[in-house]
Amino acid sequence: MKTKDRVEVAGATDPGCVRKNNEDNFAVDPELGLFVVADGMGGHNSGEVASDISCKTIVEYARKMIGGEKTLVPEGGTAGLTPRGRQLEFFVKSANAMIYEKGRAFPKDAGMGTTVVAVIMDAKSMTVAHVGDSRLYLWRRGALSQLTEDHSLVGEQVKRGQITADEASRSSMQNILTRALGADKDVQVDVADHPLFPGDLVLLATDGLSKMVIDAEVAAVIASEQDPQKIVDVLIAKSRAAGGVDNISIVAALVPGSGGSGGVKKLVSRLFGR
Amino acid sequence: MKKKGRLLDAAMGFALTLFVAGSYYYRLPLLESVEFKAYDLRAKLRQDLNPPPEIVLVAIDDDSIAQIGRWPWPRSRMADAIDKLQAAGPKVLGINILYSEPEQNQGLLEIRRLEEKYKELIGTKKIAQKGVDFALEFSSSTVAMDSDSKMLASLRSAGDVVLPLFFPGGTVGGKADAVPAAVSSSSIKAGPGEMYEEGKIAYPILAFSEAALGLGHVNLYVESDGVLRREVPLVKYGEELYPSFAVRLTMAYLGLKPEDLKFEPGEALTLGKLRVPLDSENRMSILFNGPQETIRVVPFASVMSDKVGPEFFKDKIVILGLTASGLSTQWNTPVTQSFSALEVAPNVIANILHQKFLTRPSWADRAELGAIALMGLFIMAILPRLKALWGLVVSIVLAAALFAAGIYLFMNGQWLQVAYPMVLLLAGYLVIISKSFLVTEKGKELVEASAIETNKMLGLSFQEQGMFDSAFEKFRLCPLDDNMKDTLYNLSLDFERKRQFSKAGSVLGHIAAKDPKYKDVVAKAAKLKEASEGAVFGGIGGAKKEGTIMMAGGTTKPTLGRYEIEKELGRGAMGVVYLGRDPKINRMVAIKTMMLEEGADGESTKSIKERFFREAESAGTLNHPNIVRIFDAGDENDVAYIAMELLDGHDLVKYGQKDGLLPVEKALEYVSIVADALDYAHAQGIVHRDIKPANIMLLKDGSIRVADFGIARITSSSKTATGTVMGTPSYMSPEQVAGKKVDGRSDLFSLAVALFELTTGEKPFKGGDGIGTLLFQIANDPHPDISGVKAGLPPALRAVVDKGLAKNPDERFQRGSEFAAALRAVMKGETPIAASKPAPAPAPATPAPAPVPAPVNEASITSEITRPVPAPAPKPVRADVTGPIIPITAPKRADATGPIIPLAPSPAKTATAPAQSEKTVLIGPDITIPGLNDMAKPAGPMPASPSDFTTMEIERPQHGGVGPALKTPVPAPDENGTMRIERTQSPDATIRIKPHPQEPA
Repeated sequence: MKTKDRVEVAGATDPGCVRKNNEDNFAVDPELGLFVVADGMGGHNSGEVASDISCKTIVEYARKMIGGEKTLVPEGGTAGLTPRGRQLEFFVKSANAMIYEKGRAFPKDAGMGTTVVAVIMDAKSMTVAHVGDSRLYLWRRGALSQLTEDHSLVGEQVKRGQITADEASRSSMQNILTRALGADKDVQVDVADHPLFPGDLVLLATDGLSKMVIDAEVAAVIASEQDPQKIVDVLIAKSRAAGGVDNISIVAALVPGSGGSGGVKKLVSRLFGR
Repeated sequence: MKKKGRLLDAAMGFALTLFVAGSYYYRLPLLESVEFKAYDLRAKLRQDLNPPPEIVLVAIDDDSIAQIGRWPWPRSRMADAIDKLQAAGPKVLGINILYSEPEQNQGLLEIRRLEEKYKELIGTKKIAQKGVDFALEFSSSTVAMDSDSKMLASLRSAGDVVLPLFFPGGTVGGKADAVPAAVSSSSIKAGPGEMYEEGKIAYPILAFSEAALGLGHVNLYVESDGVLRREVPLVKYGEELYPSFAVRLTMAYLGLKPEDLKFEPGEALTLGKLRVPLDSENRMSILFNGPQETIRVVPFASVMSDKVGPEFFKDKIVILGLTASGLSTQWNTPVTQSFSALEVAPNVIANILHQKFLTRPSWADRAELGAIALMGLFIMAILPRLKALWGLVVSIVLAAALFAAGIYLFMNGQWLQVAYPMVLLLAGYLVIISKSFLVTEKGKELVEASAIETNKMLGLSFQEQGMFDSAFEKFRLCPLDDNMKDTLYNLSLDFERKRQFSKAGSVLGHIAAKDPKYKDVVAKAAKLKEASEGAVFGGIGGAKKEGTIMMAGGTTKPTLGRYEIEKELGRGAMGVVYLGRDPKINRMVAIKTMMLEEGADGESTKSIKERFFREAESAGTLNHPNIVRIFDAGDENDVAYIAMELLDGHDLVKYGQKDGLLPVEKALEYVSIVADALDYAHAQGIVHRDIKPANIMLLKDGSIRVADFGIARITSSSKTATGTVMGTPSYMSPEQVAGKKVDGRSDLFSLAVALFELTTGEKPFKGGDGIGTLLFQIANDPHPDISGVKAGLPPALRAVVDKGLAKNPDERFQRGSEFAAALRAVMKGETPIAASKPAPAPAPATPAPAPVPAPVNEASITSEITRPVPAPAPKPVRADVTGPIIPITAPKRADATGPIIPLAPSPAKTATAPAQSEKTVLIGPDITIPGLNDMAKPAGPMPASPSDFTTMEIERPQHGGVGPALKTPVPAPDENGTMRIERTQSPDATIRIKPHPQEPA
């Protein structure tokens, strides 16, 4: 049976050192290769509600439309996207509608919103969708690159060259987003496809990590720890050590390597580990 | 998909398992032949080429026939052989040649005929017997010619010869022919039970039968694939069971009689002390010693020519029979394809004597079914989860294990049918792998989900989340099929549960419009309609009022603080606006809600709440006819709210569009009113921060109100660490974009943007593909020339707009009243500001002399202005004034008590070149601000960072100074930084702005 090699994945969320509640959420569905990280905002716990709705909606819709007998691709969607891109865009847009309408329907949730970064991956490629300033990094052979552009004011300013990245990290407007789920009836979702190679590590994180730990340090951690669970644990510990002013959520997914002793090990675990 | 695929795999695996188990149970030839092949393979592995010592064969082979003569031989020759063999002293002699008919010897017949004739002639006296006794001659000739009798004599003399009998086939069931006692003496009584049964019998001629020691059947029964594997030791004929030739020989060898046989059907046949295990069909598997001639054999010719010594036959079982080609039957056996019938019996005898048997262990059936079930489970559950390669490896390992077990058991005399589970394994592997290969190759089918399906999905999700209105909205977009009717009916039940009867009713109405016969939709909708109208809901059919129940729904309204919430008016980024009623004074109010939560810096909710109330309080102090009044602020469950004046009107957004433009005069008038209102608010130290057409209300009575004072501040104070969602910041000022502290001049910039939009229908900064472009434009790009955007505007307006949109706050109108005055001048056709040189924007900002209408609280302002300011600063600046001097305090005196006029830094560009030397800005005829600060600044946009200046916090400015901001940068120490403010002398107490004396043109 030619099954996809499972992606090894680990995820965790931590309230950080300052805030009492955790408005982040994350979801992993290894079966679908779907991973989501969301950073909610809004009062009276509705930040949690928003990020939770986004994770659950995306996973639920993915299970319905990808995990079923047939793969359903929604009609319409942004032109030029791959079918999987259209699906992911639809899931994120559906999550947006859920959060927006819930905010309208229940005064206590009014104005809630969330960032989201979601990825569907197999051993060969991935589709990334994001809204807001939660990020997706790709670590490949020692180099870490950020594949998502922050939808934040400072992010836009940096992109335009109005301020430097360094200034951005000190700006008082860091927390202003230019896009978020739940803010409006419709939302523009950035969707992109990327190829993957064995040994690549995909990292999804909320700004609780990116504001606390510089990219070079993240890259160093990934280089020294190959186990996703350890990477997640170490990065959370580092974020907390740096102050941990915001909630931290991280999902790390390792693209399986090919053949080698790993194959034998896998066979053994397949035969006896089940 | 995966789950279903697994299910399909399991189903296919199950079907295969059933098929194999069925084949096993019903012995379908297809799989049985596979098992036989496996059996043969094992049989070949097991053969033992050492000939058994007890048995020798005398073969009438091709050589013997060549030497002695053509077959059939006269029986006298057989008699000779019997005599010869007997002389060697074998234990028992078997002759595997059936003499069922007397020999038809032509010579003998002739002699007999002559004898008859002779006797007849003698009897009729035709001839006379003389001399020779012809009768004797005849009889001796008869004897000489009669081989049968010779052979009979040999048999009799030997006494230990076993002869064959044969069942030539025929229908079983009819009455069996009577069998002579000589034949039936070899048999035993048949008991009940299934046996191999025959309908015809052929036995040696009676005399031979009588002379023989016993008879045994030589029938061999092959399997369904035509291979001889098993011996049938007892065959039923009539009511008797006849032992086989081999069994009979063994009995003879052991000296047993038929009554010594003990037969347990399905179990065993016991010959004296030797037990022969039988299978359920009373057969015995033959373990062939090996291919042909693994039994010691001598040719008949050698025996006759005495080439074999008697010791060869001594005490042996000697079997004589045919092996010559064409004369003997050849059998297909596991060990070889052509096995002479003569050698079958010796193998069986050897098996019995050496007790080498192949049996089916008692647990065989269970073990085989168990193995089939196990393999079935493997292909159902495990194989589909393995990759092709690993699946193959595991399958091979399993199959090898099965076969090895089969061989091991076979060697130990136990036959287990391992082929069935092996076949199942193989078939399962092929089917499952090829299926998964095909499926994987094909890939998953991509199906376009129509908008209808996605709407339905969304609707169901909404319904699940309790958002029934949104769910209904989505469901309405779907065609009303039966499924949707059910869904909608459930939705109406959901609404009903929430006592939203009218909505429940309208859902049912939606169904009824298409299908009024669906369930009880029509009747129920009517009932819900009554309920929603607060009417009685209960006893149908004229129930009395007393017996009815009032529905609580709709009577109690939700409250927020002391306000009853009537309905939702709208919603903004931060919260919902409700129509509320103050029940105490029965006043209708608009209630704006927003969430309070922890700040970015971990500020506690409590301190945020305090800040909220402080902001709301200061906004509440604003009492201006053109500012929306705030009545009350409160909080409940982390929801903060502000109760404000309820207005009957709409905002100016639609007038900012090309097709909805107001007449220019109206637009200018409205903007000037707003500018005045801002002037008032700024004087109170309150910055709006979010001036835009959406926050300017035009009431039905034609008056203007500025809404949401301080709201932006409040909301920004409660933003989360994660962030605040921001709308398109088209009205942001450059300093807001830069994230600096802002003052009233920022509001005036935003108002100038609104002015631009309300007069032209376009925004000065349109942005591009992203918000970043817009922000960049606000910070850096010059705005377009207003007269180039729309023709027909008053020419003087351009300079006003240019000044209003100056990047540098110091180059803009410093007060709302200035702005208003300039606009009013434009309306009158005057030119309040000299036209600037065409290109790069920031217009030279020297105010034209124009009467400025006094704000309503002019008196208080002027009084404050006139109040001489104590000069606590150690270095009072030089006074070049005609009125009270307000010294600019040195920054270090930020804690100075008393009214301080905070001044914004004024870059040199405020006035164009000629003014440089003067270093004085004159505002109005009576107010002069000399050389506010003439710090040399590079040309071009240079929004100074607030950190360049020491900032001074002033809770409430006590004056109507030019720098109305709450937090205002104070200019760097400048000895010359003086300001002269004169009180206007005009009776209506207006402040006049005097043009700069050296203003060009």
